[in-house]
Amino acid sequence: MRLARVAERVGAPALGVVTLGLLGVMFVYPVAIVLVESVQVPGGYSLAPITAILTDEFYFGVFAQALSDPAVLVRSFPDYRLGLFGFTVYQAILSTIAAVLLGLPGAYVLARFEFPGRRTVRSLTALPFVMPSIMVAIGFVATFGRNGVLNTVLRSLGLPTVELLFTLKIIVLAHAFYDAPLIARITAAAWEGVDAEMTETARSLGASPLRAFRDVIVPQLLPAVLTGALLTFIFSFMSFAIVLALGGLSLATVEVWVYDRVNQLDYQTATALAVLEMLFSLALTYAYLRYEARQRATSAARPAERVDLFGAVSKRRLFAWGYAVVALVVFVGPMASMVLASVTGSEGLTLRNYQFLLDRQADAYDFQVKPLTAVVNSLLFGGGTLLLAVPMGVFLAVVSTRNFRGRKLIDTLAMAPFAVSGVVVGLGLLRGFVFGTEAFGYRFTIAGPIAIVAAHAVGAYPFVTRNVAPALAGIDDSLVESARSLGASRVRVMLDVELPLVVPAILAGTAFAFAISIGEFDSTVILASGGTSYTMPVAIERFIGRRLGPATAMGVVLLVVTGVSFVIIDRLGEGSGFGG
Amino acid sequence: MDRRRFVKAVGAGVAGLAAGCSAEPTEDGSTETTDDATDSPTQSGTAEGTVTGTMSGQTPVLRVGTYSSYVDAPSTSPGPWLKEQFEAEYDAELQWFAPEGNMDYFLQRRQQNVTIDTDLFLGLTPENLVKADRETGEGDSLFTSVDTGDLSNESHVVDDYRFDPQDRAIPVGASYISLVYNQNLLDERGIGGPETFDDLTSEPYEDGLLVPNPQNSETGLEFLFWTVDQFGEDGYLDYWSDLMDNGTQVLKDWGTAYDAYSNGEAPMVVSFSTDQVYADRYDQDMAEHQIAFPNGQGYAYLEGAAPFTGTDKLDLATEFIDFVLQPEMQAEIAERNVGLPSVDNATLPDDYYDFVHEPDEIVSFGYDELMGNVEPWLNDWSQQIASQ
Repeated sequence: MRLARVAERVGAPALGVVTLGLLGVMFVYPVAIVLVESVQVPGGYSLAPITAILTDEFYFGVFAQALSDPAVLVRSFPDYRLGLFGFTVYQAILSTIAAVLLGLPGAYVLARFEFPGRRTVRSLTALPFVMPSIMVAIGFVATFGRNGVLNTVLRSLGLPTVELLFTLKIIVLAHAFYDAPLIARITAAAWEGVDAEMTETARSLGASPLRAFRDVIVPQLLPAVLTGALLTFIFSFMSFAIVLALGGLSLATVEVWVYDRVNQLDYQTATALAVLEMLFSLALTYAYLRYEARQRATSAARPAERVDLFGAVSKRRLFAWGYAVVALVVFVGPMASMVLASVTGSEGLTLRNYQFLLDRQADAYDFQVKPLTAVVNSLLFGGGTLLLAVPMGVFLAVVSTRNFRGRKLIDTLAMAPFAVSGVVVGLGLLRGFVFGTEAFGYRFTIAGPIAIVAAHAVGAYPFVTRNVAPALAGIDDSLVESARSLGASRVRVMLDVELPLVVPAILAGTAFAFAISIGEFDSTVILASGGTSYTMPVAIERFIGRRLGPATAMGVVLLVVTGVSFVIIDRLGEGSGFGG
Repeated sequence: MDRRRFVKAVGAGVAGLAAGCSAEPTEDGSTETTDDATDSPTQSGTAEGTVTGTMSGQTPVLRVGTYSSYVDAPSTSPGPWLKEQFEAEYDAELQWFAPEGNMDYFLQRRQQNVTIDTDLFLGLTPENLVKADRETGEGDSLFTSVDTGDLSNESHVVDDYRFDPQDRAIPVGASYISLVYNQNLLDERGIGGPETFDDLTSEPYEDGLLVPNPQNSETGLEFLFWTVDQFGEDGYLDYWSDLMDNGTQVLKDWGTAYDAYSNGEAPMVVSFSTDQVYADRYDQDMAEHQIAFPNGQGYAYLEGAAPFTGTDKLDLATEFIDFVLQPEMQAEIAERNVGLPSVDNATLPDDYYDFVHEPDEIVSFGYDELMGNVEPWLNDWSQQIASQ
């Protein structure tokens, strides 16, 4: 009993120290040693490299022109030159709108309908997140290309075909493919928390269903929707591989340039661009968090009853079914195309690609990639990531719901792993860990499994935080107060009262954290280079050749393994006694 | 020489952060490998917990850096076979090391003053070499010259393939960048394969060409060089402007471009003249794997082997290059890597050239043409394509 008290007392500070230590070592340090180059000039420091970009038309278009010639804003209206940054923001806005439009109906269906396999579908919403961009590109070409599944179907129905590839539309759609499920999942969790009584009261007071929805439900969903939208915007803003693979260089984003500048060893421009990306993303996050802090949704005593998806035709059922068709095309289509590609060859249906995986497993040399090793590594790293990222994320969420000065700043900085260019993080890990750091006459290097897990955890915990923080903030204060008045310590209240109430949010965060770990490529491939710590996405990349069969077969393995894992994670979470 | 290794936890308070961390004494700012180069500071065996020690009195280890598909491609790769052959012939162990980033990985180690720990690099392109020299500066180099007198078959290296006047990089393989086109799709337009660069900007070939992004792809970059050769420094950007106006797409890398091509998104892609070898191997429709050499030219994609400055096994590295240059090795490597030998006395099976096409005229920029030019060419081009 006393031991438990001690554990309670040191538990939180210890978690704090671990969280900050890990962030410092695995994120702040490697990123800082790279980003410092953005202001380093011979003989000292200067902001000149950054201002040089701000005033360059190529990067800032009309905004840069206006600095020297404000009249341009009038003269060229409304045909502004956007510049790389302007275009990047523009496509991110479109992507966010598309993801919200695709995600919200999904949240509605998941939260308000009952149908067989509903929980499994909900578990699988994180699946697009694990797909390496290369697989998404392959799946999208196979689905939405000129001769893709969609156009083949349209053609056979005698309908006009669509030209999507190499346009902004396909980029926006691919971003929505990644992020709409995220929005759906976060919003569904909030929707399930809306108290039925409030809607009923509104209705009994004469409000139309639409009015009740607008005045009662929408305000309670808004924080969740905006959280999802914010994440979508930042991810689309930092997008690189998808843009180049499906849109081409003519639709380049800032991150494409960061990558190019690093390739050209022009670290100054690369890091200056990355700093501007980071400042922009963090400013946006800060603005959002100021808004979120003003929202105080209270979670449900009694959620509304679900509607059976099967039954007499009604407007809402038609809507749900219509959405299911869209979801089938957008989300299932690209993944199904990959499965199809993995079992077809020039000879028709074949299992040759899976035979390839078995052969590789049996015959590969030490310096070659073995499929099973990749699967096992991925799962181990994913599990390890959860062990670190979930406590870290929940801890930071708890911190963010406490009232103290500078809270929002800490909250914003906690999102930094999303705001920093992946190329820069990779470069920092390479220099700081793989190459090592010199101190006390020794060169310290970190690589292999532990470094990979730590890097994944740093990239994953913000998901947990952003899912859990709004939910925690929504808990009725009187619950906490009454538990406190009965003599429970603050930590006890947290563990016994508050956390159990936010289990759905923790689970959603956990699923996405796991997905981030499984799908992560950039840092993993650097930290695993030359060793045996490679993961499934690394194996997929290695198996790409003239024929896509072997890579798509590995992609299917990735989908199956992670799909099963998601279901297990959710069931375990729900089985933990808290209910989902 | 008794370099001790410590495996210790780094980062106070971070429990369990032990495996994969190591610390070893540094030698005052030394940038060169001063003892056994195989004493890898980071990767070797970190996952298994085994550590490669120094090799006193044991079989010497030659650590060879290369690109990943040379040792681990889904089809065939020469790496494993070459290792077996070399080890059978010499009393040495060959250790492949294919880091992410290829040559850039080693160059970055050098920039950060970290030991290279690898003896030579295989698969060095002319633009790799130029980039490394640009970065290390005058009078210094990431690579060191090979005494060509020690290479018995060196005189047979094809003259067009030589690209390093200082004999650091010895050509060990080649292939040709060309256009690969799908005649079935061109039939729908009622045209044949493109014959000139101007065809590519003409209306019948509209929306016809996919190019791997020169920023990320050697294939794309060398295609860009080819257009510089064709239209000159002052004209290549205008040509590209016409190409883009005609619906050319510049995609992420070779794999992405080739995937889109395979799906019939466009009838032409910038790829290699060895394409039919794969098509034959996998029973694919040959009409979809036709080779075109615009203006009768092909751009030679060259690969060299070059020892790293500071290797203490320069003799063994030279022996390895000598071994790789042997005619029978060259023939076998060419087949396994689906390319061409770099020497003129390698004998390949007669039917090999049924599917490997060679241009009438070889175009290729050597060291002197590329030095100081790659960056401005590429940067001007990139800004033009991506301007929004």
